[in-house]
Amino acid sequence: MSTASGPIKSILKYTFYYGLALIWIIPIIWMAITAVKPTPEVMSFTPNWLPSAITFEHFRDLLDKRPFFLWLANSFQVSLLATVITIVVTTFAAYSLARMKWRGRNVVFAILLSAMFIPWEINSIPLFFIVKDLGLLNTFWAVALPLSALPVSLFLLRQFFINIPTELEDAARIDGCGHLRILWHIIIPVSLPAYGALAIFIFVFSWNEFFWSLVALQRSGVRTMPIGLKTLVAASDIQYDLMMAGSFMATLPALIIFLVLRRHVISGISMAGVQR
Amino acid sequence: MTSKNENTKADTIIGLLFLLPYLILWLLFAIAPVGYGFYISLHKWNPIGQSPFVGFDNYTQLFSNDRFWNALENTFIYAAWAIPLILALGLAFALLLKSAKMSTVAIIEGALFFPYLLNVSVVGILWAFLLDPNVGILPYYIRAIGFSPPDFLNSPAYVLPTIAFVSAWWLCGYRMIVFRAGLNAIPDELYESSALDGAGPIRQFFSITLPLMKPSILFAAILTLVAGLCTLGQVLIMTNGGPGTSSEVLALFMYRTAFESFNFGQAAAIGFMLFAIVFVISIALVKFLGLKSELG
Amino acid sequence: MERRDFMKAMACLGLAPLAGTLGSVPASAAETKMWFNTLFHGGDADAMETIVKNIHASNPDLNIDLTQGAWTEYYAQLYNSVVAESAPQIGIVDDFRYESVAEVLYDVQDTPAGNILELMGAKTDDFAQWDISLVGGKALGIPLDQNGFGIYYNKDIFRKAGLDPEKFPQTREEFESACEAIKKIGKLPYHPALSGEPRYIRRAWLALLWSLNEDYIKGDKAAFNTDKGRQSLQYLVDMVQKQGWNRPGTNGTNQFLSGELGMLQNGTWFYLTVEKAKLDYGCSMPPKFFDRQVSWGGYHLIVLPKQPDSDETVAKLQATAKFLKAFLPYYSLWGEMGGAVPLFKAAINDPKLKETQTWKKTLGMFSQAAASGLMQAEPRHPKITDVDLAVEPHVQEAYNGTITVAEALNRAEADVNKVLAGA
Repeated sequence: MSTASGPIKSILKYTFYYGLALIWIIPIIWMAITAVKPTPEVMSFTPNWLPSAITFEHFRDLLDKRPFFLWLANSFQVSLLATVITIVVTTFAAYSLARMKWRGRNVVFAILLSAMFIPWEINSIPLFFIVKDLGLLNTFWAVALPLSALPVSLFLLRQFFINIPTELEDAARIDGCGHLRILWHIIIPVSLPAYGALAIFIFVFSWNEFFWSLVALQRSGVRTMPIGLKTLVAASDIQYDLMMAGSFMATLPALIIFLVLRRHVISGISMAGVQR
Repeated sequence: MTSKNENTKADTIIGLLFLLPYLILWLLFAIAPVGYGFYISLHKWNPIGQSPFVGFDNYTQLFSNDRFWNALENTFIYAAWAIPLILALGLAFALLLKSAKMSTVAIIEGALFFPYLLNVSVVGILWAFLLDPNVGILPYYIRAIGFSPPDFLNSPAYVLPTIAFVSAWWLCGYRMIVFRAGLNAIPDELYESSALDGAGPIRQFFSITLPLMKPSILFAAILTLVAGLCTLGQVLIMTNGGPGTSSEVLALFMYRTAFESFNFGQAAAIGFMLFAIVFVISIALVKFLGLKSELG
Repeated sequence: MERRDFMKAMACLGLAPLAGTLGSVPASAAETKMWFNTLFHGGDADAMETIVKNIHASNPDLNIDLTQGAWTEYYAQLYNSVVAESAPQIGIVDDFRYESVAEVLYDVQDTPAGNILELMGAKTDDFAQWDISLVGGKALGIPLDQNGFGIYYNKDIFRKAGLDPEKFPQTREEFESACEAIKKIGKLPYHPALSGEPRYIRRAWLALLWSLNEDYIKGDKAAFNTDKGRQSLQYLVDMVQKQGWNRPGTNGTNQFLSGELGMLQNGTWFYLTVEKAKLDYGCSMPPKFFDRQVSWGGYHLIVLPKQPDSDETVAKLQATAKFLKAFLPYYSLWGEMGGAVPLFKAAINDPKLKETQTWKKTLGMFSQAAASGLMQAEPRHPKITDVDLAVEPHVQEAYNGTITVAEALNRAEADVNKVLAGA
């Protein structure tokens, strides 16, 4: 580890890391290039990294011919609805299981958690009939409500709550605070990182939810982004140019949210004590 | 000490009240579908008109169907590829990022995480495009360096590993984030003191990192297993089960039975079998690997 | 982030979707709207959207929610939506799925609102092949179009290979020598199965089977496991295994759009895609490979899924009839923009349609082929989809060369008979 080799080592290091990142996102770079290629150049036996011209025609086509912003708005609504319901419902449940002392709570938690091993996709057939009977077909609730009961959310939040030191709470209790005030003034304020992690998890999960939405959201007015994008795919000839342009635009909101919340996510997950 | 008893009683009531909203959603959308699915699977289900009760006919039919056993086998082959790939890549990336010590590590992390933000139809279509034997860039560059590219999606031997790799590309970013958080929680002193003892990075990995990360890796493995055994989207979009039935996994078999043949009773039976397999394996693993502390 | 800000943000975020959801619950909107759910994608979907927009412009009272672009889940969705009593008022089905959803469709001549055809002011005779709409003597749909396969060929490649770009091979010998000529200039000669998915391989084989005058199924039995069945499948397999005209596992559409493929079997709908790729191309029926010139074909039908019994249903059906009446003049635009042969006589004979680019490039040829019966549809059977699904893996394996043709057909026959015998 002599100092002389320092710059070379650091060049090598940077090359390695940026090289890895580059290789990993080559498919996405190819997607972006395809999105701005003139249509006749999209298909070629020799990869064409530098199109003869850059065109935004596919983006325009997409915005003109398809209700892209409707899909975007619908996806936002579904994802936000799921995120908000998850946070509200899970907060109370996790508080009850982590901070309140009632008999059987650990057994109840284990039972609730076991649903983690029920694969969500394979429930679509019975779920269809249930949601139909609830009169929720073709509403955002049909997607948001089932996503709000994911055991992973409960697990994450409970784990976080349980690790909060009890001293503050005891003090508050002596002052005569009820559970709601303890939750509001003590638990929630220190749990914001966990909420960040939970929010991004549920948001991205809902943002990309596909098969259940396909079954539950049949009307054009309620289609979300993944279902909308799928309509660009014909059975025998895929319109790669439009598809890639659409995918690229659809990914941006999720990426921005990730970048903004990144610190919360990482600290949230590590503080949740998943790794004890 | 009556006041304490009253306190506990009140706590129980409030505790249950707090739990109630979650419990309702959980019962309605996680548990009821399983029970209802089992109920459907015992009928020759006709959504319109009469659905006669047929007992376990749907199951006996299933067990005598070669395509079911083929799908079951494919499901496990896929899982056997996908789960180690997802976990190994996720862990490797997390370790690399931890040891990077660069100010721009966020950029690298963002890039490695990016695929997770795509949805399944985009992933499937994009990779079918990249792997196309003629216009795909991957076979092209394999040819360019002098090898003959395998028929990634059209060879019975390669198709499941290929789809597993695509899934790993798509999903390992999320595991990376989780593992990274776990690595950050390991105190630096442990590494420092072992470095003083002369341990190199490889020995440190095996003597410190792996043992401390073991529970969370196993936990992640189980979650990945649940998802892996139920994979549907990637297969449906990239191969639709082909070539032949080489990549027809159980979830796809169920999807086709329901949505192409309208045989909802049989499809529910497949779904219930899949549920039973996944549930039993996961619970057994949790017990066997001693992960109970991890869960509670 | 302060806790208060956080909670405020969450509350705001919570209200937005709530407001949005309540505002867009379609159940309330459905009272004044008709729902038209199609299975079209891409260009077809654009065509239908244009037509619906035009109809709405001249009939502002017809408020149509057009939903398009479903995948394989479309039929189950259609079926389930009738079960859920929230079915679209108008749907589109393929002829080969028609009988499997028959029980959820109205007889168009006998609905709660009466005879829709009469309300449209149309007669069965106005349609080119009315009989295709009949299931057990009842018309469960209205013929929309006939679609099917032809062979698209790259004229530049034909010129380079010394072939006449204006004269497509008419016999098997001519076709084979054209393939050899194209191979010589280093291009791929022929792809028989569009994107190479199993269903297209099966359809390519079916046309060859029919060319030998052999049946696919007869009654409730597979009929294809015969000498002729093996001969036809062997010919298809040889294209990619022996002749080297192409390779299994490739996507013919991608090859053709890259300008590397001489001839591609593809559907009427491919017109739109190939135009966008700016290739110099022609389109023809396949040559007479064996005893008869024939290609795989199908139909689209407009159907009226059953609705719950109510006055509202009658009103909606009346509105549907009005919509369909307004649709009739657009059959020719459907042909022009969608590429398939419209099944309304006035449209086929429309002189304006004959002046369109579509007609000159592909539709004229397809119309003639349809009129002379060269595009054959799959046999009608409620379980035809299950038959197709049972056949496809085996045919694909033969095509890939992983099993022999005889073995493939033996297995396919066994599976098909099992499907057809099943309850």
